[in-house]
Amino acid sequence: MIVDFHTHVDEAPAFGWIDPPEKVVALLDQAGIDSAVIMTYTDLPGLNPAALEYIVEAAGRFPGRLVPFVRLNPNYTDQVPGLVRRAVELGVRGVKLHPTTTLAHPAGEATLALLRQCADLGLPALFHCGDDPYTTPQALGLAAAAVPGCAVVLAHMGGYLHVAEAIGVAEACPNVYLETSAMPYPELIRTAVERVGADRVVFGSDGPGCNPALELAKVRDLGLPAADMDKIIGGNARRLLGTA
Amino acid sequence: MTVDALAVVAPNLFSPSSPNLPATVAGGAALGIDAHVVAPGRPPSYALPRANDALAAQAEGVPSVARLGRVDPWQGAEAVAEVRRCLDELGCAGIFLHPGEEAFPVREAVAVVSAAAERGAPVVVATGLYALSEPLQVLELARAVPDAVVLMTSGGQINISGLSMVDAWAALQSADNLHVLSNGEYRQDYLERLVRDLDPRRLLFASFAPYYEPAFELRRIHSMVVGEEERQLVLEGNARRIFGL
Repeated sequence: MIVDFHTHVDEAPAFGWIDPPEKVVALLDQAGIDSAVIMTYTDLPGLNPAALEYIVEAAGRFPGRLVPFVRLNPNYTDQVPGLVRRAVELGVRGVKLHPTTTLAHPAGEATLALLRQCADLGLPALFHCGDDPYTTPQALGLAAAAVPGCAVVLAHMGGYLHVAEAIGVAEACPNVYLETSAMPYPELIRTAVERVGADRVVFGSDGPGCNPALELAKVRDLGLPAADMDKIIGGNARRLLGTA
Repeated sequence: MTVDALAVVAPNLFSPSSPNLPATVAGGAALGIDAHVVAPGRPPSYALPRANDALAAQAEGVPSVARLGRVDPWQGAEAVAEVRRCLDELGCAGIFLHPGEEAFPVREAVAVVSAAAERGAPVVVATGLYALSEPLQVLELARAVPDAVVLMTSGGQINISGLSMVDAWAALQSADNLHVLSNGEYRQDYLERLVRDLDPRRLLFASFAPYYEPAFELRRIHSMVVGEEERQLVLEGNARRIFGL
């Protein structure tokens, strides 16, 4: 079973991105991917107050195919704990954090409080991880080290310029996972598997902007042992989502 | 037919395992790449004119290869002279600038780009480097030398959050003499938009090996949802037109 750990479903005219769930499901079908984690482009609280209900409803239209994550702005400390509880009640299985859009430092108290709540509830936290301040692997590593009970997933495993650092952070923090989407150096996925182990490398596409078929091929073409590949393209995701 | 519009060949201070020209050509052939545009890496000696000479010697008798001369704009008049030597004497098809490896902001490159433009030669700029070759900085360069054909590597940006893509798009819309190479551009929808909404003649397939992996970079182009005529321009036609292959 193949699981894509990072896709977007949202209809956000302010950003110019209109990506309803049908668009992602069509791309999953094309790529032979069984299911995908979906999240909005907008943070809660924020531009779209109905984002939680939207993402849950989108997932509900494709049972078994789409798994909702709620995308949050930790700086709204008075609202976030309640939003997380409500999200879990509605079937949300994880949290997405994008410090570039929220300006919440990953090791700031607001984010750490959210991560502690995620740890208590068994929710993984998928962080955008790339080349901007607040999103570098080292910054995320501070958060992961502070809340070792939370599974911290580094989307893009460091982006263009911080992949070596992302692998280093994952080596240092056993609760850190590396997610493969968009990162343009396929061989570094092999390096990550060699140094961190196949149990903590997770396939994601960042579709629909990125092509899930291309992103899946990026991983599969490495020709890793079947047992490792099974973990990377599905097993680890199912474990993180509690569906293994 | 497929042309890789940029590969950097050994010796290369920054990538010691870089393939040399014969290995680059052989690796390309295995992927169905028929022709290459190549630039020298920065040699451990730091001496770019000698690297230009060495690449010219490597390329002798190797068909379907266009060479780019590499210069360091900080060398001032010597760099301008090297541009002219590369184009007039070494038979280079264009010039390659790497603001990251030579540590210069692209505004310092006006003189060398002007020298290339005087001879009708294209200039490839490693683009997307913070404070050195951000897309809007390259736009200023393209505007300063409007007769130059300027090609930005990396989709015009290197930023995994996608924020620089907006600047790259603005740059491309603002200067018709700007073109873009596909290497490392992770957003498929952006590549398709370049073809669909900008101009299919301004996007070129490039691996920018060894910094990026040719097989995966080629797969990006074959994955694009565009017309076959447009895809062929990206894979071959644009490079042949611009580099005279």
